[in-house]
Amino acid sequence: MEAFAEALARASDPLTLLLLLSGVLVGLLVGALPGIGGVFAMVLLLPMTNGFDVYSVIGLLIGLTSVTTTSDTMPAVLIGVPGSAAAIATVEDGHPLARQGQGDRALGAAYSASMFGGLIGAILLALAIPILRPLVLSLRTPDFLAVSVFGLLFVAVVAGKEPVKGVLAALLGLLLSLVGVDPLQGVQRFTFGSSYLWDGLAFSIVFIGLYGLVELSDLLRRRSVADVQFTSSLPAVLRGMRDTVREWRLVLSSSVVGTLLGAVPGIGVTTIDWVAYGIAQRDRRGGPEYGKGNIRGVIAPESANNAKEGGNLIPTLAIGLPGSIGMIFVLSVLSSHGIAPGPKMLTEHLPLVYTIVIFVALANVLGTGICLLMTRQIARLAAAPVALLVPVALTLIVLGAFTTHLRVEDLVLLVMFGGLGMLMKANGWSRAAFALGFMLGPNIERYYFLSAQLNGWSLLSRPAVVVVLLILVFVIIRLAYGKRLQLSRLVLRPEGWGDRVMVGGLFVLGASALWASQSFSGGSDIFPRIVAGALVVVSLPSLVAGLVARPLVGQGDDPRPALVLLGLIMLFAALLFTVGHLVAVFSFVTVATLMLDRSRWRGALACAVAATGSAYLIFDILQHVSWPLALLHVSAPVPTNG
Amino acid sequence: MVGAVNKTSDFYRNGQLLKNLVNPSIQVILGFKGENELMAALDRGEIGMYCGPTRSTYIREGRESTQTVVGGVGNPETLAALGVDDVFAGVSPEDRSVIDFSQFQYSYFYAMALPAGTAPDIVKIYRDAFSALNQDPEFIADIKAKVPDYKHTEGEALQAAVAAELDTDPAILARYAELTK
Repeated sequence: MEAFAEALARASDPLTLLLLLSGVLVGLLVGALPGIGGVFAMVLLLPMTNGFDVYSVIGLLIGLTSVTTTSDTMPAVLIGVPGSAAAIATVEDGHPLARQGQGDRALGAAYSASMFGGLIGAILLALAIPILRPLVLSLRTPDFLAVSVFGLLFVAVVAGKEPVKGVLAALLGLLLSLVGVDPLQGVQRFTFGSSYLWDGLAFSIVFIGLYGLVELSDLLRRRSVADVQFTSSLPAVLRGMRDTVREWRLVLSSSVVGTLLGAVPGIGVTTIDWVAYGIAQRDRRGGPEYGKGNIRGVIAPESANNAKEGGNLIPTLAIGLPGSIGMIFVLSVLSSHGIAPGPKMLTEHLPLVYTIVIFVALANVLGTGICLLMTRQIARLAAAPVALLVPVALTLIVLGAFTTHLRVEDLVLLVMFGGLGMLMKANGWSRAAFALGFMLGPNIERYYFLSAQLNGWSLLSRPAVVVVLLILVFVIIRLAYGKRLQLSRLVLRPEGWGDRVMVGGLFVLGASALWASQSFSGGSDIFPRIVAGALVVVSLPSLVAGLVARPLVGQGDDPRPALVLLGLIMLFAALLFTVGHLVAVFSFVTVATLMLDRSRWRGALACAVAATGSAYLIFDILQHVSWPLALLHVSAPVPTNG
Repeated sequence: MVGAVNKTSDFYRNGQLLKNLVNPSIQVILGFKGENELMAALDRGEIGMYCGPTRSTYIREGRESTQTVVGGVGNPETLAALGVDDVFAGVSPEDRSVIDFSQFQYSYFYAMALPAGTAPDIVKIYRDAFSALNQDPEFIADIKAKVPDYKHTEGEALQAAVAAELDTDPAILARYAELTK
């Protein structure tokens, strides 16, 4: 009690509260901007905290990390572009709700679910304090492997009505996750001799392309976010909040899962979200189909991804093993103040641990409160003209991707994954299954090799491994047979050119990868061979089925919006490299808006000014991006000393 | 079992030195993500030890041609007290040279560097600033509070040491490569 009282006193210190609030505000901002991660904000803010005591700095960090998964829902729901990886699952049902004119209801549900999730995560963290260390130390490397494989099994949940498409999408994600320098042997895999690919395909670019560009193209096609007349109303927001309260069992179970999986290092938020989504899908009573605007599909992932913050803190505080990238910064702050995570956290630093619990709870309440206050205004975005929305969103998306490495390859990758995403969405291929494969691939490979070295065959005697293997067998049988013997479920019957292109492309990709992996040495070829081989085996029957089937004419969406979007990206890229980013943003937004709607010149200028100002604030003032010199740059004189 | 990150890491190279010079029964386990994960695996009892701390990538990546040292921080005395002398006490003089070569890293554990070709007057500005920083009583008090054994090395001295290290006998380099293969 004494420690808790000290924690309360520390947490209520005005300076600490101010820093917590600052962290919350920055966290909400970066969460709402696609491609700008919380890590960037931490890197930015940490140097400014020199001289503050450990409680204040931790308050700032916890405030920031706790709420990025609250505000990332805004773009996910309103324009179908997840603000961060944590909102990918939310897009599935949140964006369809916005298209049905229920964006404010979805946001109300998402924010309140986020808050309850965060609070439950904080409570579970507090309850776990006495057993933090033994709890974390009881887990072994094979358990981490089992949890990673368990996450991959949720492909079965997100695969949709055609399981083969889901399996192939997941295999594609797995294969592409192996691009780069092998983390064990240091062997280059699928890098084509390019140093750009050494670190693998940048996560942020892949998902901005896969989701962001696809939704912008879709917006261009539909001409508005909402398919129906949109009116933002407080009752709708409150209805969303009531939905959350009504689904309290789902909130509780998703939050518990979020906290528990969050405590397992290496289990990313994407996995946590899809596991929670899978829990929601078990209940199919009433409501629209999942993926078409079921509010439970918003509530579950939003509860889980905020609860995971409490889980992330468990290994961080117990044994100094960061539960997420954000926790590395928490550890570095503790370390720079001479505090070593471990047993002493439960004795001499117990007030700090309780303060962290209070911070998590407080940050979630503050974050949700701020988001709810802004919901009605932000939800009006759904009624904004596409001619204004698309150019501004596109500049932020392209700049967000480009600042990953500041190389032209960033833009090429963005367009490639945009094209892949459009093909997948248009033909009913699960991007979620791809995301699961892409996120979990590296973990599964690494934990497998670690477990095999550490445990040998006794790896199979760990209960978690046995349980996951049994579930795996069950899932495969379910996928193959359905409710009755139906081997044909293993073969896709391509219905149009899109499916044929996908299946043919995946077969060629798998065969090429299989061939290329022969040159990988020292065991670094094992996973690429398995994944590429599986891709070939699974895609071959569908490829044959596609070749023998009569081709259908007139299938597929109108390609013009995608071509317009590609043209806009090329225009913006050309301006970026020619006149520099600020002039490029201003001129691009003006021209692109007028191209889409000639009557909106006032709006075009206003948006151009706002976008240029935002780009300057985000990328120059805050992020200090070292932009490459534009072709038409003007050299400034270099200052010299004396 | 000795934990390591990957085959390009110093955890692995140091583990291999230990295995090849001291105890052939050692098994180097690859795949941990970094020092935090190694420490957690130690706590869980999955590995018996790991060989750190991380070596600077300065020489390994041939950065001498791309960087100019501004200065370095890190306390060679403290870092040398890792038991290296005791562990490798029985090795031959030739192999001892290899060990010394492998331990040189600790004398510039956190080196600060500029791109190669930076104008000498710019390098001087940075080195003077680094030197002035390390004479600032307020900075020293602050850093000593956080890192009690903090020490620094001036850029010129470190650059000379790196140059000497780069002149290492090729036979020692070949033996080092053989032992850490």
